Amino acid sequence: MYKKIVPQIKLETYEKEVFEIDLDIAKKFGKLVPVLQELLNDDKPLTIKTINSGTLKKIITWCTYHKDDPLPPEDDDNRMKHSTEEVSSWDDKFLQEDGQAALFDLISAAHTLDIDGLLDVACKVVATMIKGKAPEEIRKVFNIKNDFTQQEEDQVRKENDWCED
Amino acid sequence: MHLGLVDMSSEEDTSSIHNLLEEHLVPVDPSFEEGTSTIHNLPEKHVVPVDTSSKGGTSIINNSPVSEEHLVPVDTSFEQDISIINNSPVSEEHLVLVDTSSEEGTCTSIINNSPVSEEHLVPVDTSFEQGTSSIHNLPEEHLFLVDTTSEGGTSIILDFPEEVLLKIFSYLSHYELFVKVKNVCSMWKNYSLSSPLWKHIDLQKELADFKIFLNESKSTLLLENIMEAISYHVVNLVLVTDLDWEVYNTTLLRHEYNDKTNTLAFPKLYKLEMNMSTQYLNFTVYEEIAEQAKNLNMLKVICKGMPAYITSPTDLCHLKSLEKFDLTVDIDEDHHDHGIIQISNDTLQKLFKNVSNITHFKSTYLNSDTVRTLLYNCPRLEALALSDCPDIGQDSFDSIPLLSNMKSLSINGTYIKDNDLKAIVQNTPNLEHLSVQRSVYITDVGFSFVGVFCEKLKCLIIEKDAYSKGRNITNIGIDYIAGGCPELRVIVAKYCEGIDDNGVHSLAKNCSNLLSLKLSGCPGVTDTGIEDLSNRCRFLEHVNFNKCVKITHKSINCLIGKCLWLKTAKFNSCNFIHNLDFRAFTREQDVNNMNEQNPERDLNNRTALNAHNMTYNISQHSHIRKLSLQFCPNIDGDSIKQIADYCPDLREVYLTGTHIITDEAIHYLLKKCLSINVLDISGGSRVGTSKFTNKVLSSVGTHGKNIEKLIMCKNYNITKSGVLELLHASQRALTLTITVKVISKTVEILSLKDCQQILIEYGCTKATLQYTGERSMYIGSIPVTIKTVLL
Repeated sequence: MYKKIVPQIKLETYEKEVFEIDLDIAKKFGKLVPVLQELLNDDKPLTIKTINSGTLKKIITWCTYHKDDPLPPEDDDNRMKHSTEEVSSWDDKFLQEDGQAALFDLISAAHTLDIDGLLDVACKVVATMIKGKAPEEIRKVFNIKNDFTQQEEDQVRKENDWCED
Repeated sequence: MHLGLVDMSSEEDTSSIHNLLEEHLVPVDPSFEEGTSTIHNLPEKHVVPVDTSSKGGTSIINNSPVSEEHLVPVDTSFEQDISIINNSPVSEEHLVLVDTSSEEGTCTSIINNSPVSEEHLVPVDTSFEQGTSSIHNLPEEHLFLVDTTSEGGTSIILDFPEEVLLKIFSYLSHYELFVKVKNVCSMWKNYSLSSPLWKHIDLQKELADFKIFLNESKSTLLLENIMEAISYHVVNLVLVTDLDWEVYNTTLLRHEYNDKTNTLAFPKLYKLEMNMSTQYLNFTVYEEIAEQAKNLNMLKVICKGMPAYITSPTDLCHLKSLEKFDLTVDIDEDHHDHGIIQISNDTLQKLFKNVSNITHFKSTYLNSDTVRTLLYNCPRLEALALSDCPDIGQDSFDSIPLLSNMKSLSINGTYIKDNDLKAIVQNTPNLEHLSVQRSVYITDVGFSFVGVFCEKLKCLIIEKDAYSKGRNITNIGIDYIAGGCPELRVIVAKYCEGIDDNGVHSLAKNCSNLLSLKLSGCPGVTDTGIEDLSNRCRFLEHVNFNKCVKITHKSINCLIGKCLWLKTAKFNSCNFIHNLDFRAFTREQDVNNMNEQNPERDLNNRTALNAHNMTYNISQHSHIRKLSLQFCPNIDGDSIKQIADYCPDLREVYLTGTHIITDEAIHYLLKKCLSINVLDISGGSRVGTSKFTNKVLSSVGTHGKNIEKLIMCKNYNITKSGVLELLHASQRALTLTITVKVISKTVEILSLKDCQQILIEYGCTKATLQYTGERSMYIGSIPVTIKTVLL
């Protein structure tokens, strides 16, 4: 009986917590992969200050769940087609279960770590949060301040007058 | 050099930009002091060029609006250091970071930044010189609002870097963007109108979208408004002529006339595609759009469905930048009457005389004068495709000039003869792709010239229609080509009945790098030829031997067993195929694996390998992705199991009309080949139905984790409850397409109501049930189309 030795890399989060991640999961980390591979020979963890531990935990869970996914198609046409596909129910639940702030952290982290697949689905989830809402509702959901001047506001109202059905 | 970041600290190896104390930073930027810069959406801390202080704070480099062209890339540290720059949209060569340090190269800090000790950091931004630049005045590509999220802290949506926000927006419809998102706040207004989101406009799709929310006239009005706001950004425009003609006139041209200052409505238009599907159209509107698009590089006119007869534009000469001109006729198979795009030969001749940069041209119904004008005036021509030009024939290509750029040439369905083909190939020494489909007058003599002159030929397509198959191309022509074109990779010679084993032998002998060979409908090809082929052409990726009725399982055994790069294989309607057995190959490889050195497939070096001496050192199984064995009635369950064992990478399996395969065999196949995403288990052929029962669906439910498309027509033993159960069991129901074609009334069919039930109960937003009959419906907000399948 041989136990398969899985190479691991170490990441340190904002809270200075060190995570050990299997390389076959870390392979999702886009452009980071070559860097991480080099780190294998190094005992020091890689410090990523923009990511907190909770977020990194979620990322590891996501990457583990999706580790056997087929690679996305290379050509652009297929990519476009892919982009309109719905988010799977697992992803949807996973991304939304901890609330908006956690989702946004996840997006930032996915952007930092260059995890394309995760960034894609997370952005789709945010897009669905925007879909079908009026501007005022969108502001409320995302806590955005309305910074239009009265004049601009009037203009918007005028434009939307005919848009309301 | 206005920003000088000076930091003398960083003794430690692991110093990161974030560890610095504030006093080490000396942001020098006179422009900021004047207080005239208005980066008003950003919190103040983001404006400070480098704020590396606060623990939870934000690093700045990415936040400052640095214009690309001013960035000086100097970084010598990359060899030793592990640097990461991926985070910022600044591509490496634009990096502002001047780093001459770190010989030790042990520092491993990441961020939006590379591991650079700060004293070397010199962001140079000269765009601030004027001191009055405001973030909104800068052209978009200069904006780098990146990663403003606070470290470890909580992000809010406004902090997202532009590219992330644009990614989110890219999943929204143009309606959402223009009517909703644009009116949320001023930052979003800018982003929602930014060019990446509006590059591709397909007017018909847009209008269809709007009509979900608005009535007809308001939809049109909205489209007009949108076009007015964003036409500047449009790079790729798709027009369809089914729509009300007036819409185009008003929408696309109105504001141009109203507003004299905006003379170019589509200044960036690069690619214009017009899909014609109604008869007797007027070209004028297109002409006017095209007139505004001074940079138009590609003009594509597609006739779909019905034949179209379009009146000719009188003049296209203003399209000075035009390089690619495509006049495609894409006719439904039902309409044998070919469409005509009647851009007159006169107009085209004038165009060719004035616009000499044309590199790609594709059309139908040209006369030989026009072709000659094109060949004489456009020396850059790389690709020419002519089809159905009855006027082109004898002597059309007499004494044409040397076309040294010509790489791809298709002359399909014309009446050229052997000496015309000779004239062409004599003058196109660099030809790589030659297609002469449906050219009934070309014989072996013509093809012998291809062999003589086209040394660089890579792809040859000489196929015929199933109904015009003929014997004027025989082994002799193939022999010349094989001997003269050693680079040949792709040969498509469907229904060239004159080609048999001898032709295959000479291809195998001379073209050992062959990647794709399609000889369907050549009944002279037998096992002997294919065995020779699989012994010599080990790099074959795609083969198609449909209707080569003499071939048996021996051919498949050889091809799949020996050509380990094989990706697609089609053996439809080969009645003698049975008893597949790949065990011999597995054993043979086991022996050879002893000397296995490099199991990796090295595609780049593979031409260097000697095909004849190559041992089976690649892997123990076939990498075939797509296998089609439709209407091979003697394929049995055992053969399927052999396939399952030997071809674990299969993605698509088509087994229509293989009526002796049972549920159990498919169960085994799905268990072994986990990647299968398209499975066709339809019945058909003589017996009518297949043996499959609901059990096969439960196998799909348990093992077919990746199945996205399941085709089952004429499976009369499969019932509704089986389908419902599958949808229930399948977690992937969201992307499962089930095609159910039913022709017998006696079978329990899936009704429209059932579809509704499936969609509601299982939340399948994407389950498409192809279904007989003409229906489409909306259920709640989930549009579901029951596609019409013509029987």
